[in-house]
Amino acid sequence: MIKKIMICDDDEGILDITGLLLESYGYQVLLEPDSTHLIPRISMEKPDLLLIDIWMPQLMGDEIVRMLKRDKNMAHIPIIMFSASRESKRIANEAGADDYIAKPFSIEDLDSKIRALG
Amino acid sequence: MKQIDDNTFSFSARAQNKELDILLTALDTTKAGLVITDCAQPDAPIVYCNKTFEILSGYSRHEIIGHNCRFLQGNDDNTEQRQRMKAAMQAGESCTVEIRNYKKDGSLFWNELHLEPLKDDTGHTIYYLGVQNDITKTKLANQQVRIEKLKVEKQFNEQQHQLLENDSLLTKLLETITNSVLILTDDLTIIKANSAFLKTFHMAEDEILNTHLFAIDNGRWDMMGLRSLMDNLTKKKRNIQNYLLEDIPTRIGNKMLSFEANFYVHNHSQYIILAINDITELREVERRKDDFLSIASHELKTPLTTVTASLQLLQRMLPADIDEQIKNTLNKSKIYVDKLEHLITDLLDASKIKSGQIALSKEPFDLDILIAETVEELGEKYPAYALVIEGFASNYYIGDKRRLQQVIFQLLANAIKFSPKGSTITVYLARLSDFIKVAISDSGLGVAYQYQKKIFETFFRVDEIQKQYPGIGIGLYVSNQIIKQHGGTLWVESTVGEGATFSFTLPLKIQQP
Repeated sequence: MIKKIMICDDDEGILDITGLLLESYGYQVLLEPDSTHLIPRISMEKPDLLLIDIWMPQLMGDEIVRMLKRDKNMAHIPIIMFSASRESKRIANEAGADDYIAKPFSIEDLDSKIRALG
Repeated sequence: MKQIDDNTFSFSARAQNKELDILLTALDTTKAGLVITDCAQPDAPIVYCNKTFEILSGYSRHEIIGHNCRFLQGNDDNTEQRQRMKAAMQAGESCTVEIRNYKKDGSLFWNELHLEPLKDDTGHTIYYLGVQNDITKTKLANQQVRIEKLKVEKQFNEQQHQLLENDSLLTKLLETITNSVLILTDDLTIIKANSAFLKTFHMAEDEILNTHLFAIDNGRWDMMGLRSLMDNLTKKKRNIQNYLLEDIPTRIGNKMLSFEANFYVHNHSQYIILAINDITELREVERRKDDFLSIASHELKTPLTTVTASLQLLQRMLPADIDEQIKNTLNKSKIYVDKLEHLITDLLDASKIKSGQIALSKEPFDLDILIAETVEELGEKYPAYALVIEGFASNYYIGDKRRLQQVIFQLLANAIKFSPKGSTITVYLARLSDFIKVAISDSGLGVAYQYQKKIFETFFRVDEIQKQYPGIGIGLYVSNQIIKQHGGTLWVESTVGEGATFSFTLPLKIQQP
């Protein structure tokens, strides 16, 4: 059962609104705009799921996913990647993400993807 | 009185303080172009040039100073001469070479270049003086003599002479067109190159005349691609069109060239006519357009994500007893934002297709049901139109279901857009041998004959229609590409004012590539 979701996106507009949308579906939401702070926050807050953008400055989403999937303490956390660019689905797959959703997304689709991973 | 040189010359007292001006004026009036390069600076930049050099090169002084002399070479490599100059300069010696250079307007001139080291007291070279003489006229005269000689010699038989007479229609024609053309004998010896060829590829006539095609430019044209083109041509005796070769190392840089080749028989001898087009820039422009589309789509979608999500959130936050008007306004916003997203997706699709990145994910599905669902969806959205399906196509088709739905949706949406309210739009489904056919007929504006092929090109819009029905002209292009990728064809039949029928066929058997 997924309750706590960590969202990481450098676009703060998307971050805030996605957070509010998921809250309206009853999830507890944690927001992180800076991908370089993400891994320490995950190990501290232990979310049930990570929703993460791909194209972020400094540290790309797919690199983070690779790191998490190699870490035995965090590899179990399901990850959904989301992005607005082409090639993203393939990047998400190769990085080892559990699922992918294209931006812009419908909240119903996102919710059903989250439930499927719960 | 100032001694400029102890041995040869001295100025009179009247020239005091003007000595340098006098010398510079003298240099400006010489017939040779003069440059001085500073060897102590990185890349030996030009620090002085006289007036004659400006005239000779066509560049003005401010475009010359600071450059290395090689800017005159364009992309011509002049390998042999360059090596001689390099060796002389490393040894601090003088040398004279004849080198192909290019004026600012791109025209070739033969430069007789003399390099002279200018040394300090310790014998170190501090400057190099370049003395340049334009010897193009002499060169050309010599060339003409050689060409005439070649013509007289045994290789140029009477027939070829006749064929290539200076005032023949063929020669005039060749000199008029802007395409580069070579005429070869059947053993690939060049017997004629038009001036467009010589100009485009920076070659002189005597360099290539009576030379084997693969020997020109030190064998640089001897490439797999070109060899297989010529093999095909000579063995199969087949004319060849639009044969593309990438990365051909020419004197003007690596180029993408398009070749057309034709046979010509004259007095029992066979000749090959080779027309060459440089399409490098055209391709580059296309590539940039595709890059732009792809980047623009991504940049547009990112803020749209926030807008879409915000609208979804607002819809969820609305209290149950809200005013209908607010609810409707919000729903309308959502519909139009979705429309915007579709438009951007189409743009992205078009750019993906152009760069060959669209991948079909094929699966078996019931095409008849897919069409029925799409028709129903649009029928609900546009109750003012009667949408009718006649016949059956296939309940088991293997293809990209989502993409084909996109095509049907596009064709129906177009039919609705261009038809009067209250009219009927009919979808005919049929199975013809091992093909299925889908035809969508409307009674709208119709498509004039001259546009019936053009409407499937990207960004093409019929002008008269643009004013009344805005759009970006991508839908039909994308649809056409999707149908093509399924091995089918999409076309339109129409009479202006009497409606249009857009039809496509799809092969039922999976074609072997």
